Amino acid sequence: MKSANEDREGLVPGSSNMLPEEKIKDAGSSSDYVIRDVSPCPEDWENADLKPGQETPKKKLCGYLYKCSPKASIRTWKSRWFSYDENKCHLLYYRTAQDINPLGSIEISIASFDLKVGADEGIFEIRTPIKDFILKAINKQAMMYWLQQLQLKRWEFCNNQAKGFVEAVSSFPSIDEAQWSNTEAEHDFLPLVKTPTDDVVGIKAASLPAPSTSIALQNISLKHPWIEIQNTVHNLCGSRQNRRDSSGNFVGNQDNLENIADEEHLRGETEDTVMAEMQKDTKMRLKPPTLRKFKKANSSFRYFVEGAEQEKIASLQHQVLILTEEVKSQKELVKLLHKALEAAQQEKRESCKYLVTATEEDRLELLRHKVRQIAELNKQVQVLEMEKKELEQEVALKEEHIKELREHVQILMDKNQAKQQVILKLTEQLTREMHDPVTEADSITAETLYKQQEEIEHLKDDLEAYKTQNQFLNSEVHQVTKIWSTVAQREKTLLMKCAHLQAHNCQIESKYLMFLRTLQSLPDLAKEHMALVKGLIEEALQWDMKEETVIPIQLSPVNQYDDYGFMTVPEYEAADWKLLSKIQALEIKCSNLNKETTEKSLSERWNNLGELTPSSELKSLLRCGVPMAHRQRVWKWIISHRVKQMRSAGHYHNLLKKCEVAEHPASQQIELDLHRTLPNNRHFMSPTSQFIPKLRRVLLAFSWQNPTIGYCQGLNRLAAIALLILEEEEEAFWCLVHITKNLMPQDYYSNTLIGSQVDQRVFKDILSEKLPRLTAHLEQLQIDLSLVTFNWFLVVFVDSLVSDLLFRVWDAFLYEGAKVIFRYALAIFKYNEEAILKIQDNLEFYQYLRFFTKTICDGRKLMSIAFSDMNPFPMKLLQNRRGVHRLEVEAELRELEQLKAQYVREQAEHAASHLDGAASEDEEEI
Amino acid sequence: MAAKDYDHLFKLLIIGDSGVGKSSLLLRFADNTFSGSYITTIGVDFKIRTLVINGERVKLQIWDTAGQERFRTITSTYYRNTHGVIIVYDVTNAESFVNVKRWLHEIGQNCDNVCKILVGNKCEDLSRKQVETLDARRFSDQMGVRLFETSAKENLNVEEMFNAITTMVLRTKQENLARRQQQNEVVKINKPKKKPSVKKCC
Repeated sequence: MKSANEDREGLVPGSSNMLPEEKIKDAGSSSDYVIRDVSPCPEDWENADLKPGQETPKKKLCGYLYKCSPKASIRTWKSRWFSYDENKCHLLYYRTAQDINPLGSIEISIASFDLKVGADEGIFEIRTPIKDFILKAINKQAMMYWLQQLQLKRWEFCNNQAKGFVEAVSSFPSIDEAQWSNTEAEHDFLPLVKTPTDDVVGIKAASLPAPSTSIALQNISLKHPWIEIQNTVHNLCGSRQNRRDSSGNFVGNQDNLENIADEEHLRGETEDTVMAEMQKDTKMRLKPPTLRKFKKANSSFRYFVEGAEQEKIASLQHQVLILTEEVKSQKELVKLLHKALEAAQQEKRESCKYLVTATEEDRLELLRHKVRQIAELNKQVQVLEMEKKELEQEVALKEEHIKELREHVQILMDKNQAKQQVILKLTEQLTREMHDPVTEADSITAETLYKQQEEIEHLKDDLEAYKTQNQFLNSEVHQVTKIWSTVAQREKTLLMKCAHLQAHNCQIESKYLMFLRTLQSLPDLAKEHMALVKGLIEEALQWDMKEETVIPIQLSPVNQYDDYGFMTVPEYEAADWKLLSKIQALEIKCSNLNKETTEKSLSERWNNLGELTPSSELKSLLRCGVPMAHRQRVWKWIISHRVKQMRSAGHYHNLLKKCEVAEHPASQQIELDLHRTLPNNRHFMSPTSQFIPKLRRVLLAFSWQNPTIGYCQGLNRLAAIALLILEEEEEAFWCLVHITKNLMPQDYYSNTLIGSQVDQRVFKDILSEKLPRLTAHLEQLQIDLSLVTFNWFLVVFVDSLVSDLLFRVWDAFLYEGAKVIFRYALAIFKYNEEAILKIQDNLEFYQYLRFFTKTICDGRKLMSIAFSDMNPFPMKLLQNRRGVHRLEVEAELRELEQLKAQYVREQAEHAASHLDGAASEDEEEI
Repeated sequence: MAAKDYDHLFKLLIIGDSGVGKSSLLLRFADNTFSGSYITTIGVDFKIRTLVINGERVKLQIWDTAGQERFRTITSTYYRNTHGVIIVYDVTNAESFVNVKRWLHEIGQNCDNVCKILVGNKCEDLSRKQVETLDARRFSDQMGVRLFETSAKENLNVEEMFNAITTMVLRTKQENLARRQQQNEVVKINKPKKKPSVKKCC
C-alpha cells in the first residue's frame, strides 16, 4: 500500500515542482466547483486555479452533472457536461466537455429551481415551462453551488434585461451580490476540507461531507482515466497517513472490509450500477471516517492503477481478503471446537461421577437428581420461552411504532412537496411578471414617443385656440347680456307706459260710456241723436269685448289669478263695472310695477330679521306687509305666540273626533256656506277642491271649541284666508281662535253680534272726529255707512279689498288687533274722500259703496294714511267708546226684546179677537 | 243730479232663511245671470234695476239680507223706509217654509204697513220638492200674501214676481197719494180698502 502511494506521487502531471500538499490545496480550492475538478485537460486546472470566487468576479459556470433520463421507468443517470451561456442565459449540456454541439439547453431565465429534501443527496431540479430537468451533483455542497450560481445568473440576466425597469429597485442586486459573495466565501473555504490530515477530514466529513465524496465520484468516472489517476494519487496522498494510523483498526473492522469486498465484486459492471454503489458510499459516511477514507482510497487504488501494478495490487488485495476470510473461518472453527471440547469434558465429568458412585442406590439417587435437574431446566426453558414471546410482542409493537413514524414522515414529505410546488408556481409567476414589464417597456419605442410629443403639440395648439375662443365668447356673452338688460329695461318701461296708457284709455272709455249713458237718459233728445247714441254704446261695448280678449294676452302680464289664487279681474255683474274693474286691475299693475324697487329693500329687511321677537321694528315691518315668502312663517309665529296658553298638542284632533261623534247645530249652516266662500279664489271655486273639506273641519272644530259663537257667517271667510296662507288646517283653526279670542272684543260673532254693533257705533264716532267733512256729507245724503262697514269689520275686509291689500291689512291685524280694522276703515274713506264728496245722490252713493274698496290699488298710500294720517289713535279712547256704546246697544236690544214680546202679545190678542174667524186655522196648518 | 231718470224709487227687501236663494233671485233679476257659487251675504247687499210699469219708470233698490238668524238684530235697521218685502223660502226645504211665519213676524215688528210677497224658490227641481204648491197657496191666502214659485236658476217667474211686487208697491203709493189728496180737498170719511190703519209708509 505504501509503495503504491509513493508511485502515484510521481504521476502528478506538470506539477513536479509543486509540493503535494500545495497541489492538493490548489485542487481543493477549485474543487469547490466540483465539476471543474473533473476538467479533463491541464488548462482547466490552471483555469480553476485562476478562478477562486473573490479574485475573478466573472467565472465560467460549467462542470459535470448527472442528468436523469426521464424516459426510462427506472431512473438512470447520465453524466453530462453542463456549461452556462452568459449571453443567452442558457445552460447548455454536452456529452463531454470537448463536444462542440450541445445535446440540449435549459433556458435559465424562465427556469425555476427546486431541490427535494427526501431525495438522494445532490439531486436538484430545473423546471422550465418547456421541460423539467432532474440533475444530480456529486454532493450537497456542489448542488447548492450550482443552484446558487444558477439563481445568480438568472438574476443577473433578468436584471440586465430589465435594467431600466429594475433601476428603481437597484438595492436588491447589491444585497444579493453580498449574499452571493458570502456563499462564495463559504465555497472558498471548502478546499481546506481536502487537506489530508485526519483531524480536518474527520471534522469536515461530519459537517461538510462533500469534498471527499466528490473526489470519489471523479475517480469512478471511467471516461477520463488520466485525470482520475491524478486524483487518485492526490487522494492516496491525502489518505496515506490516515491509513497508517488506522491500520490497527483494520482487523477489528472485518465486517466493513467484507462489505467493501462485496462491493468490489459488483463494480465495473456498468456505470449505472457504479452510481448506485456511489450512493451507498455516501450513506456510509456515517461510519467512522478513518475507515471510510481507507476504503475509498483502497477502492480507487484497486480499480484504476494501470498494468501489472494494478494487477498486483488487485491480487494482493484479493489475497488479503482470502486470508482474512480464512482466518475468520478458522476462528469460527476454533470456537466450535472449543464448545465441543467443553461439552465433552462436562460429559466426561458426569460419567466419572456416575461411575464413581458404585451402589445402585447411589446411582438411582444420582439419576433422580438428574431427573430433577432436567425438570428444573425444562421449567427454565419455559420461562425463557415466555420471555422470548414477550420480547417478540415488544418487537412487534416497536415495529408498529416505526411504521407509524414512517407514515408521519411520509405525510410531512407530502406536505413539503406541496409547499415546494407552490413555491414553484410562484416562481413561474414571478418570471412571467418580470417578463411582461420588459415587453411593455420595449413597446414604448422612440417612435411612439415622437408621436406622443407631436400629439402634445397638437393639443397645445388646440388649447390655445380654445382659450382664444373662450375669451371671445366671454366678451360676447358679456355684450349680449348688456344688450339684453338694456332691452329688458326698455321693454319694462314700455310695458309700464303701455299699462299707464291702457289705464288712461280705460278711464277715458269709462267716462265716454258714462257720458253716453247720461246722453241716453236725457229726455229731450232728438230721435236721430238718440239712435246715434245707441249705436255708439253698442260699438263701445263691442270694443270692450275685443279688449277683454286681446289686451290681456298681448300686453298685460296680469294673470287671471294672483299669487294667492284670487281673480285679478272679478266678474262684476254690471257692464259698466267691468270697465271699472279693468281700470282697477291696470292700476294695480301700474302700482306693482312702480313698487318693485321698494319691495326689494323690504324683502331684504325681512331676510335679515332672522328670529322673530315682539318689537316695534317688527310692528312697523308688519304694517308694511310681509313678503309672500315670509308670510306663512310670520303668521304661524304670531299665532303660536298668542295662543300659547290655550294650545295643546291633541286639542284640535280631539275636537275633530267630537265632530265625528256628534253633529253640531251649526253644521247645517256651515255646510251651506262651504261652497259660498271666496268664490273668486280658485282654491275655493271648485266644489271638489281640497280646501273645502279642510274648511269644513276647521269650522266644525271651532264650533265645538267656542260654543257661545258656534258658527257665524263670516267665520268661513276668515278660516279660508287662514287656510290659504297657513295651509295646515290646525294652524288655521288656531288662527280663528286667535282672532275671536285675542283680537276681537267679546260677543263679536255671538248670537246678538253685539260686539260688532258696538264697533259700528264706535267707528261712526271716530269717523266723525277724523273725517268731519265726509260725515257731514253722509248725514246730508242720509247714508248709513254701517250697512257696508259692518261687513268690513266682521270679516276683516275679506272680499272687500283686493288680495294684495287684504293680506297687508291682515299682517298688521293679526299682530295688533282690531284697531287695525278701524285704521284701515278710516283710511279707505280718507283715500276716497274727494270722490265721495262729489256724490250727491243716496242711491248712487250706495252703489259706490258696493265696490269702491276694490278700486284702491295703492297699498302704500292706504297704509300711510292708516298708520300716520289717522294718528293719534289711542287704544284707551277706543275702549272707552266701546264701553259707552255697549251699554247703549244693550239697552236698545232689551227694548227690542220688549217690543218683540209686546208684538207677540198683540198678535195673540189680535188672533183672539178674530177667534170666530178662520185665524186659528193657520196655527193648525203649521 | 239735474234730472231724475225715474218716476218712482222703491226700496225692496229680500228676506228668508239662509241658502234659499235670495241672492240668486236678485242676481237673476238685476243682471239676468245665475251663478252656482254666490258668496254668502253678510249684513246686506243691494242692487238697482229700473222697470217701466204702466208707462211709469220705477227704480228699484233691492236689498239682499243675510239669512242667518243672528243677523236679524241688525237687519232690523234695513226695514226702515222699505216699500216691499220679498219673503223667500226653498221649496226643497220644508224648514225654510215653516220659518216663513217667523219672517212675517219680523216684518210686523219692524214696519206697520208694507207690501209683502211670498216666493218659493228652486222650483225647477220637482223631484226634490218638499213644499207642495197647494199647501203654500193655502198658507199665503191665510196670510193675505201673494205666492210665487220661482226658479232663479231656470229664470222661471222671477221677472213676474218682481213685477208683481213693484206693481203692488206702486198701487199702494198711488192709493195713498189719492187718499191724501182726498183728505186735503174734502174732509170726508172714505172707507179704507184693505188696511185698517196706516201708520207709516214710504
